[in-house]
Amino acid sequence: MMSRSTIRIAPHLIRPALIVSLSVMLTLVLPGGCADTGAGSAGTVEKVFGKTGLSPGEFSYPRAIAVSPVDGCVFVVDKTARIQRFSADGDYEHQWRMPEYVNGKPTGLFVDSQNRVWVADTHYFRVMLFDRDGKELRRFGSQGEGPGQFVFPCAVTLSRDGIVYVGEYGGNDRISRFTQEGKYLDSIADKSTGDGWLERPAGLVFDENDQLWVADACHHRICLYGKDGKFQRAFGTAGDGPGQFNYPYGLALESGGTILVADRGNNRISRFQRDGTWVASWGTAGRAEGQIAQPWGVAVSASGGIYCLDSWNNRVQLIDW
Amino acid sequence: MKRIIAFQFARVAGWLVLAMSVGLVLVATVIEAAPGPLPDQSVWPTPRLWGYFRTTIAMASTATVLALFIAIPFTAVMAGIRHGRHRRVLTALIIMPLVTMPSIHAYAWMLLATRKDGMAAAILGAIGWNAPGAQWMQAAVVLASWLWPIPALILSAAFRHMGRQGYQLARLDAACLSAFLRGALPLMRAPLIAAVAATFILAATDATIPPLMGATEIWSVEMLAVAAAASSHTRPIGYVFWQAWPMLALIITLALAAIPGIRKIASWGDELEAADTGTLTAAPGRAWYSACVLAGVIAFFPLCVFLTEFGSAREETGRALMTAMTTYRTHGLATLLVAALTGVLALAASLGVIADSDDRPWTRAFGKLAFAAVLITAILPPEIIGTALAATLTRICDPRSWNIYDCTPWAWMSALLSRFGVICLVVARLTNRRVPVSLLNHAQLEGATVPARIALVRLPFIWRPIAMAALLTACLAMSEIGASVLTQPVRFFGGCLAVQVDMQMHYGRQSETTVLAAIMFTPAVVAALVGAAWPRPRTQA
Repeated sequence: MMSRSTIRIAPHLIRPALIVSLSVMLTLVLPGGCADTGAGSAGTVEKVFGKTGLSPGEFSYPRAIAVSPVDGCVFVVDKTARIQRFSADGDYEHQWRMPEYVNGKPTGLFVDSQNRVWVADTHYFRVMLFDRDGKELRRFGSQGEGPGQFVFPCAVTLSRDGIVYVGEYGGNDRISRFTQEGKYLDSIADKSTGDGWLERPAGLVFDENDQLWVADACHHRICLYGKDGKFQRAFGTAGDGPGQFNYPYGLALESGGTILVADRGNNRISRFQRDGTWVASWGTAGRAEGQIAQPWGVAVSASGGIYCLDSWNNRVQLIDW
Repeated sequence: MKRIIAFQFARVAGWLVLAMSVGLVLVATVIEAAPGPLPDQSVWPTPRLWGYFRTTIAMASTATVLALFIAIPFTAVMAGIRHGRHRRVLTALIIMPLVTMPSIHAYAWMLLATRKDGMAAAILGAIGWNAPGAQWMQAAVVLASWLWPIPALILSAAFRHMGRQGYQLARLDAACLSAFLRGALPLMRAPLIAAVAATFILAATDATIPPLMGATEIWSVEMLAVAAAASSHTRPIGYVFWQAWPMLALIITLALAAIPGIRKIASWGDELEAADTGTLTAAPGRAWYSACVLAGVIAFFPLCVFLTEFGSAREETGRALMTAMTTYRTHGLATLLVAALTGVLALAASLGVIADSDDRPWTRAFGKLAFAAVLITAILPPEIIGTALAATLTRICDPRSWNIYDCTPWAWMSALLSRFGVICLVVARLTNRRVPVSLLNHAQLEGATVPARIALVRLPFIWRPIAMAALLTACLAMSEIGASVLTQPVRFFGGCLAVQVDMQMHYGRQSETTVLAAIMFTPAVVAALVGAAWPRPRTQA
């Protein structure tokens, strides 16, 4: 009886044991160096500010960053619904919390030329305006799919002539235009625009010609819209190769004419020419200084430094790149 | 001799695995929680958190009641099934929703309720499904549709061991369901309490369904945020523990209340199921067919919703499939690898707790200790497990160089083992008791040593159920989110697919998310096949 059992059990014990040992060793040893997607080009980390936590100067999954064009201050909003202000050097200055945040937290931030902070209050279907110290100045928007209404507004910016552009997702997936008083003007980039239709326009930024660049996150591309709101062109495809994207969430323009994209899924910041030519990428996945994880945003300082919103690591890295 | 050496090797590997995963979680938690709350931390939760606690209790209680409401008729039907194969088919259908990723249930309901046209959305709208303030009720319904297999499976097993006689007596003058409720259920009170406790604990600690259904002020969701911010404290695990203590206290109370039921369930391993021989050939009745159809509808409901989405936009679905395959290929491979290894490690761990009555005392003691430890981690909220592993390994791993936390999925696998390893260990212990004593005595008389008796006599009887349980563990591991989100390695070649899918349900493109959700349905199908082919341990030579 025992010899019959012996014949039956032998291959079930020895081989699996060897396979398991080998698999565990391979899993633990081999992939360690395989995490990087795309070569990270040289860039120096000048400063890191913020760390995990709920105290002033700390973050809990920050999701949007904006730089004031007036004094260079950096504003960051995180998943505690706090908007924190830092100096251009990353020193904590001030914070305030959104008036309501139980339903969800904001994901869009913009600072205008009057140093006012515009917030896409995503889960409350509205846009809010604060002064730089957090005093509420205005709010507009309501839930719905009609003209001027929002489903989930996720990005906000102002054009050079002062029109408010609000990107939204979750059903509407369009960019609506308002006056600064909140009067609805029109919408662009909705489903009727064919190739120019956006899905989760997560980053909005105007260039010097008043053309609108949009991080079309769910289509894994960057789109350009003319001053008239018409779709011009797009670049980028889904993937992890050079010039490809995996949910690009943040967008910034550099003074030299290049575009920076926070590529959340690929854990990197990519630089492009305006014609869509890939120039370089910075960052590899990780939690050490110089490594990033799930960057939701990117912004450029007055001196040309790059603020990388390193969301999963709850910090901002200021890069000279 | 080779077999015995291989078994000893696997057993020691199992002990090491348990020590480095479950042991690490428990030791780290005890060390950090024992000194009490942090200096700046209030033990008594704020009124806001108490509000969250109340909402969660209401939601979990409603989900538990609804789950029982669904499960009891199925149990009654199972009670009437005499053919083993018919029972296994129904069991397979019942088990599917439980192994389906919880977010998938929620996403399917969300798609259905938010369709701009369609009868289902109109009906849901008419019954007030989308009414403001009803979100926690929606979450409770979805939680029930995910968790109802727990009471169904426990009660149907309890019926076979405890309730059959009462049922047969009551059946003399009552209908099937009535006889079950009045005749069998009172005899199965202890397993019923255990089923209620398990359902409630899982409903109260799930942090994926409520946010998707729009439910706010949910304890588990808040705890996930607490866990995410914990690393800024000197004792991260202590911080999370002392924030989560009211829910932990409730869970422990329920677990204590469930102990008599668990003991009953454990004792079923000592006896044979009189009528579960799988050889009776009574033809299935209408009740069986109806139950199969209903269970199938519940099990395949999410997939059906996704398929109708695909049907309305075929071209878009093709593109979405290609993009999803491109974007999430590495996550899928990493998740598959980690889930498979978790199953294998759970299998090795289960060998570590298989003991013989003549084993060395310390071996048996270690087996019992390991079993108790796995039972405890199985009921811990995933946030505590995740924080314990992440915080401990973060401290000892230098992020600038290769390390086990950032570059390997060890923390992730440990978290999965801590949550689901219990399945393999329970099956191992229960089936271990069924090995015929006569065979063991015979082997002893022939001079077989203890390891030889386990390797040569016990394992041939029990390895198939344990292997199946390991497969089930791997299926569950593929869908886990709560602990995976805190422990997935940043520098491994891929992350957790379930976490990505869950994230895309909130932020992503609907067509891609639907494709991914459909792909994530695969483990449930595999689990159903396991359920259908579930082997009975051999009870005679």
